Amino acid sequence: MRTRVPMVAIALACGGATQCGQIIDDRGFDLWCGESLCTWVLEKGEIAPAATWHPGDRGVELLGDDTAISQMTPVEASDGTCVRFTLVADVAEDAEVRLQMDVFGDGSAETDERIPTSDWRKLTYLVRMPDDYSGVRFRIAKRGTGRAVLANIGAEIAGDAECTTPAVAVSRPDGAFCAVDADCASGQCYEWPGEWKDVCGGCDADDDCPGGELCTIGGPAPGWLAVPSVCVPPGAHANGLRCLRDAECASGRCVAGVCGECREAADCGGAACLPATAVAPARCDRGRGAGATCFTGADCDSGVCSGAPLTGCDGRLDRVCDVDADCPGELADPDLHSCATVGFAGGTCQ
Amino acid sequence: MRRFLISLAIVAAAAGSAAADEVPGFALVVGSNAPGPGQERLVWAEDDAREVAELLEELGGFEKGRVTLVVRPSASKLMAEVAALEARVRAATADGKPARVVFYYSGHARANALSLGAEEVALAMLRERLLAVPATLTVVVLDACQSGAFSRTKGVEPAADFSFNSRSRLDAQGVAVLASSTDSELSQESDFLRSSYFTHHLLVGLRGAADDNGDGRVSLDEAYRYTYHHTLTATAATAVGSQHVSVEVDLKGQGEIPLSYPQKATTTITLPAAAEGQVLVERLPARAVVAEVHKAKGTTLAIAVAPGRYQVMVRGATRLLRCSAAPGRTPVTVVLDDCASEALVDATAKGGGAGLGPRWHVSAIAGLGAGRRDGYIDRLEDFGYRRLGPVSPQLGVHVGRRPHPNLLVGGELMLIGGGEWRRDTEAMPLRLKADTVALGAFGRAETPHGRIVLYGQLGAGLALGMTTFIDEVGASTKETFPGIYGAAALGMDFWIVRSWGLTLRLTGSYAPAIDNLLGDQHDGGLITVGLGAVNRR
Repeated sequence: MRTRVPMVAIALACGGATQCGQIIDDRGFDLWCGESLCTWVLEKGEIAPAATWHPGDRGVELLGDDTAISQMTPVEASDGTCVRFTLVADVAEDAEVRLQMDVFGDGSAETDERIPTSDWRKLTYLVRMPDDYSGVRFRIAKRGTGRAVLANIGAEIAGDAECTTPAVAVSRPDGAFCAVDADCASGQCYEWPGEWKDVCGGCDADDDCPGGELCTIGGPAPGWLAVPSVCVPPGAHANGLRCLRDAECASGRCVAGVCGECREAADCGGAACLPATAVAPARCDRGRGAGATCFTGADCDSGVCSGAPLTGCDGRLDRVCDVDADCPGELADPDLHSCATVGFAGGTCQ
Repeated sequence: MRRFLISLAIVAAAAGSAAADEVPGFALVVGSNAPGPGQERLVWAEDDAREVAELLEELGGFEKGRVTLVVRPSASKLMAEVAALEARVRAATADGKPARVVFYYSGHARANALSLGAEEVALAMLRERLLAVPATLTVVVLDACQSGAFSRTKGVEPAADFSFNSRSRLDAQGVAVLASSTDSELSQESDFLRSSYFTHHLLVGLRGAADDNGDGRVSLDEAYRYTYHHTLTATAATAVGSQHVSVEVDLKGQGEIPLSYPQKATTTITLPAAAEGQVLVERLPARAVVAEVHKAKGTTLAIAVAPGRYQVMVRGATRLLRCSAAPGRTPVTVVLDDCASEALVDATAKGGGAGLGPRWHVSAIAGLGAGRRDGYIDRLEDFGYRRLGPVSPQLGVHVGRRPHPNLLVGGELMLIGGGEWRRDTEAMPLRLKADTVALGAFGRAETPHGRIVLYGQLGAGLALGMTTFIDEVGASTKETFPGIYGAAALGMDFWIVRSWGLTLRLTGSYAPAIDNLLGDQHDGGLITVGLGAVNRR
């Protein structure tokens, strides 16, 4: 059964996905990994540390005429819906610096404010977020050759009364919670089993899928979103992938929500049928010697099982992933969550 | 300040000086340092009274038990003692025997009354009560400002030139009044002499310095002339001005009136040829002055004294030597190299108002305070810094010298704590510590009220701002910023003892010295409340 772990449950001691109200990591641009910032993604261009009020307190200078940095944050509606964004900036007249917020981190910026020419002035922006959101990417982009140095960027949850403007309009991507079809970019808001809210997704039932395809649980999705539904041809899912029905699985057997090799010993031609667990699908025990089928190295005498790697969040099968960011809670606490190899589909003992 | 110093010498009646030795004497010796409203506390009046009482017993022919010493009495206490004196004299003269009485007062006075702290005793009433004592001869000595008014109140004929006509007019009965100054002059104390000028020279004279004819006795005439000359000479050079000893007599009879019978010297203290200056010899532990002479360089000087322990002070142009001598049966010579040397301290003028008092003033003070917001602080907060702790410490040392009784000028050194700001990061927090050191001059105006001195103070000078910045990896950077400073303060000194006290001060300082890269300037000054210790000498 697919579950989406609420981010609030894995938040830090201060509660929610914020660090005691602070949304952005390294707001002072203090952590540098070589020539790049450790917690900010350099999307394009170049950056360098720059002195601010004191040589020892450095900000970041956006170099060149097309530079952008961004940071994805796990802040969500349960943290609050009024965000106060502050920064201290030294922006020359011939530099165009823009502050953008991409709710849900789907690549489309819902807010886009130009940071005015400023001589180390503290600037404040208040943004009313949608009632139900999860994840915001903060992006700062610069065009033009003028000097632009940023320092002490902060984003924190403010009191609701401080935000007096309407909430930003958001076209929710697949995987985002929704109330009605109009909330979703796909135009489809489905009641999805296993989720406590409706989710924007590709399908609701097989009837929504073309050409006999089946509506089932989709593949990797950003950790701050639910895994949306997808349409797949019958038998498309290999052992180890999540499923809702037998027809989705190449093996024809959906056991405990995961495509598996067997349901009982009779399916294994006399061999034992190992039950499905959180970290392994149901499979026949055909020995441990070389050539025997396996899912992990623990199934083999050699300890080595080779096949197509199957990755899941925190080494479990309940949520597939490609990168760490696909795992819920990874943005809030990367030390606790990661995308790891769970086993090998079609594996063979070596 | 005023003191009434009453030195006393009572001589018997027509029987002459020899008979006076057998005339029983009774003395009431009063000394009070207590100031009245608007008066400054005296230093030596009570000590002078003790020395006079000791002299009366030692050299004046007064039996022990017949010299009553009263220190810092109330008005009622003083009059009660006068009444007791009268009763004792009356009892002693009940069978017609003569008696001599001495009344000595050392302390504050105003034009018509003795000042005993918050109380007063009218001169007219005191005189009336003293004259009511049935003594054959009464001598009153007053050491205080305008003490000559004591006699003037009764219209006693003044002795216009006592030194020339005293013998021809002196009688052996009646009243003699010796006053430390005229009715319009101030009487003065001297920190150097540790006494009033008048009492000091009177005691020196009575101990033998005034014995012009060398008969081993000091008469009233001799004592007056010696005291008059030396007091006038000594006070002519003080800031307060000349002090003329005055005398009033209402005496009948003939002959000299012995006041004291100095002990015959049996040993000597010799000053070496290298010694030069004014020499003062005191007998210890009473610190009774036994000799005061001027010593020229090049010759030795032998001073005849009785066996005992002495302190010999030699006052030169700039230094004072304090030497110990303990001649026994064999004479001793002072060794100058063994003497303690100190810088001269100006004499303390004593009169109706405050004298200069102690010249040097040192204070050390510690306080807590808060700074003011400025652009530098605003900038720190914009950059996410917060201040640790609401208050900052301040330390200060002030050294001043007094050019006027109510003014103090000098130098000050202050360490003004600037506090610490901090900004949390993903690594170690960024920290900024700031302090300011200020060095400059100050001027203070004071108004004394007894032990309490209120003052207002202004200071200015140079400041040096110092910052330490610690970054996210713990590396520190120190910077200094020169600037100026100014300070204003209101305060109060409370003198627990003469030289030491406590000070409480409210200070506002301004020291714009610390800068940042963005052109903001920080004022390191504070508004503080401080408490400290003060010393004067």
